[in-house]
Amino acid sequence: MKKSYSKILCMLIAALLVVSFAACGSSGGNSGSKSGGHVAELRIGTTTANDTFNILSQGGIFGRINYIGFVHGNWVYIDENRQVQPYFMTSFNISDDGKVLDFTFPTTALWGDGEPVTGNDVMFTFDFLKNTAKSNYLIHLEKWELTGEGSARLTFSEPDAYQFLLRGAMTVGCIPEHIWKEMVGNPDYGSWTDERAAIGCGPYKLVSKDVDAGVSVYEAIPQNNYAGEITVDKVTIKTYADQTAVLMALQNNEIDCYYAYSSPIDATLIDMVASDPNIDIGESYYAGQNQITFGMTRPAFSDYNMRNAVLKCFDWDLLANVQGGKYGEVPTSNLLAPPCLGFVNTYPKFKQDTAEAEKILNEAGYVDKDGDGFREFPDGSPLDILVVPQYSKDMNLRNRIAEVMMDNLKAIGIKTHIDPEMIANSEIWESNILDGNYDIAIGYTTSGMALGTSTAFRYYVYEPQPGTSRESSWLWGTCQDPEFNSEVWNMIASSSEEEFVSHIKRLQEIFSEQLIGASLGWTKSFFPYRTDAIQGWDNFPSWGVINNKTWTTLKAK
Amino acid sequence: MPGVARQPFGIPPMDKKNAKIQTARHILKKVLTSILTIYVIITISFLMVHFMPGDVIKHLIGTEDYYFLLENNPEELERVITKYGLNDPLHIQYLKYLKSIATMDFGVSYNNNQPVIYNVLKCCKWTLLISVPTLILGGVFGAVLGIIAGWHPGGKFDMIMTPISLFMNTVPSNCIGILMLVVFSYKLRIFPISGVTSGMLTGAEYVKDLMLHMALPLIIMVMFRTFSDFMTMKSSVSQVRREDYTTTAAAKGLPDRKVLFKHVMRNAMLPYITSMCMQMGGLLSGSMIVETIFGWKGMGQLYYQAVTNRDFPTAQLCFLISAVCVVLATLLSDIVIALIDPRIKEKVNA
Repeated sequence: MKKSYSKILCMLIAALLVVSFAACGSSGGNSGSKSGGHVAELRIGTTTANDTFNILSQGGIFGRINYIGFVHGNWVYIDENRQVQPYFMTSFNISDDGKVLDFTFPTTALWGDGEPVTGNDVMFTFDFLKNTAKSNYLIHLEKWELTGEGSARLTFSEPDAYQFLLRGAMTVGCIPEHIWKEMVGNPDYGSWTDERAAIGCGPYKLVSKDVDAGVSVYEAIPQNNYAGEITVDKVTIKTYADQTAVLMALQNNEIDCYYAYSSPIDATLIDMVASDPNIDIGESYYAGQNQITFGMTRPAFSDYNMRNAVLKCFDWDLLANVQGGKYGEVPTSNLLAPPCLGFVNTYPKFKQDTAEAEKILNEAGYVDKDGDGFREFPDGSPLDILVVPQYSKDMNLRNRIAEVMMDNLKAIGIKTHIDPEMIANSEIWESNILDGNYDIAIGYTTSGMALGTSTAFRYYVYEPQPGTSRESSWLWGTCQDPEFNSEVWNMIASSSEEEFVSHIKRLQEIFSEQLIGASLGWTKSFFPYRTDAIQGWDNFPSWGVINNKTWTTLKAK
Repeated sequence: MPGVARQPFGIPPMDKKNAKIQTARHILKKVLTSILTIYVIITISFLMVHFMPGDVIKHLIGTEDYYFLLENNPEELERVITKYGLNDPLHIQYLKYLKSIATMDFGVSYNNNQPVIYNVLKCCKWTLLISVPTLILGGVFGAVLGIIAGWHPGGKFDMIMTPISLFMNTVPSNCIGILMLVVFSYKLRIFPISGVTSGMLTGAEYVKDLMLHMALPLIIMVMFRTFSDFMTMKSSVSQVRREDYTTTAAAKGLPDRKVLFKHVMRNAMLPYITSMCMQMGGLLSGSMIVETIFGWKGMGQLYYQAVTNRDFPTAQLCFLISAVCVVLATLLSDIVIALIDPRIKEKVNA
């Protein structure tokens, strides 16, 4: 029997050894390029799936990296200062009435399959986007025409030209007629899985992919140098299971940088690589934010004194820490985060002052009249604040924020409660938010929305856009101030950058004066990258080092 | 005298033909019960998706786009709703659902616009690549180690293996998974960090690369399966070892090996085989935790992502597959036991 034990043990050890030896020889690699010259290969790690390859789909990392004109040659791009810059449209001009957009495009560009990009492709694109894709940005497009070799004109019935550039810049670009004519009239164009659906006129073409491995490889098309000479010859994108795995891969030199749309590395993880001398954590202000909206159609927060007192009682340092860890910052009273276009940096930062908060409430008549330890309304009726964290995948954080706020409010004698159904059922939550059934709503503005034309102000309007009804709109706000409402809609419909900035500046003033709500903290975004083999990284705030400029600024070290 | 081969209770053997008919009837009854169970599962899965919180159309196109279309292009919104049949009455949607299952048309994934069945089959491949070796290796290792420990309960081997096994059965697989990932992939760099392959490889390179990627998740899953099976087998063997017929066999002077293989093992294998059959029900479900940690693109990870991204069609099919596999595994276990366990045969034929 002893012999049998030995045999079994030996077999087990042998099996383990075989697996271990088979495992020796880990992966790795280097970009290996001449110093100061082109980068032979840029290895990007992501957590987004690498399984959809269609230039008209925003799915997967292929769709997301096309936001920055990678394989899909987008018309324009938005730079780090939120300015619209030429890209496939080599120049553009908007008429004074904002309805006509004249632009030029290159005559030397190539599709990924080697065919030349022609004026007919440009015309076909607008026809396809308008009539098949039913693009939201082209609803008022009336006419599209070539005005010469390499030039064209779009005519809108409304002053939409600027909005088309600003909102459509990331997601639309020229498409090849010789491929997409097959899909004319087919509403399922976005799920077309034909290999040719991945052919675009961006600076790169897809050369191979391994969906099982989550890897796709791209090579430069030197002719499509819309932003300058392309200095990265090859790009490999690999998908990892999660952010921890990406950071491990970055530290092990499996990848050069991280990219994921609107998903920077979490502040709680970034310290994993912060001490590595070969890694820059790619820190910048994040445009997205958590915010509170006061229910101004209900008695408590229709009163400015209550809003003012509540904002003074919050422990702002703790709130900033809850959201951004040691990188979190207390925000200013103008709602926006620093990377937003038109952000004004002169507003005061919030500060906790519970004595002042209590004084305001006492003077306004919110005192404890029945001796239960909590304040009542000035008329003696009970005061019980309904706090509503936004229902979503990330609601744990907002529940924690609610906890901090409720503690702070209790400390100044304000009774609060949460409706358990609202945090357990998205439909109940949403119907209450749409009906304005909340005193303090804790919501979230995504980075994309904050940087777009809607901005966080969109969440505060009560009146619908002129000509539409509240029922068919997506309105969570309760601020009925006519000037605020019209400023928001005018900002969204701006026909130029100057107009947009002027509206957003006025909105910050109104918001800060009336205390309609508040940002709950500025956080940082982290898009880390390696600095040992590649130089020339340009970290766009809230976006990261993989942006429209990446393909022309990177150089080998 | 082997315990299984003879009639241990001394009941006279029945007419063979009649016994076969009775056994077939028993199996048929189990098959019909399983079919009914599967039908109930299908219905529950339909109702579950339709009564869970959240508006399907908003998840499909995104809340922002939903309201944009509602405001600016309601015709397009209506087209999408009609396309997914969300306007139909519930019973029509149910009939369409049953038809889709019969025709294996489970629609398109909300995540990547690919047919759900295509995504699921692809993930099944990767899950089977891990789960089949786990079942076999874990089953063999667990059985061998369990027999050794159970044959000499309280012996050195048992004293070492049982605490280890209890520890392994108590510690969650994610703890061991992350620990091994950090040590072997991140620090020692022996194994890749994540994924099923490095990509763009063929032939022997591909096989070697695949083995490297599957090594850690496989080792962890085999380890957990081994220790779980070890406890089952050990308890079964030590129980049978105390039976009268084992004592009789030993008293007759049969050598230990004969007593173990001819009497103890043949009887101890019955609960073990049942357990193995039941484990087959999990073959296609995958291990959500291990797959998520190692980025192994199997069914567990697919199910996890489908639920977190509210990809209802995919989540529904994953749930169906898991549930049907469990029902089929239970059925298989019933059939196998009915065929090999004389005590069940007696009950059926009585």
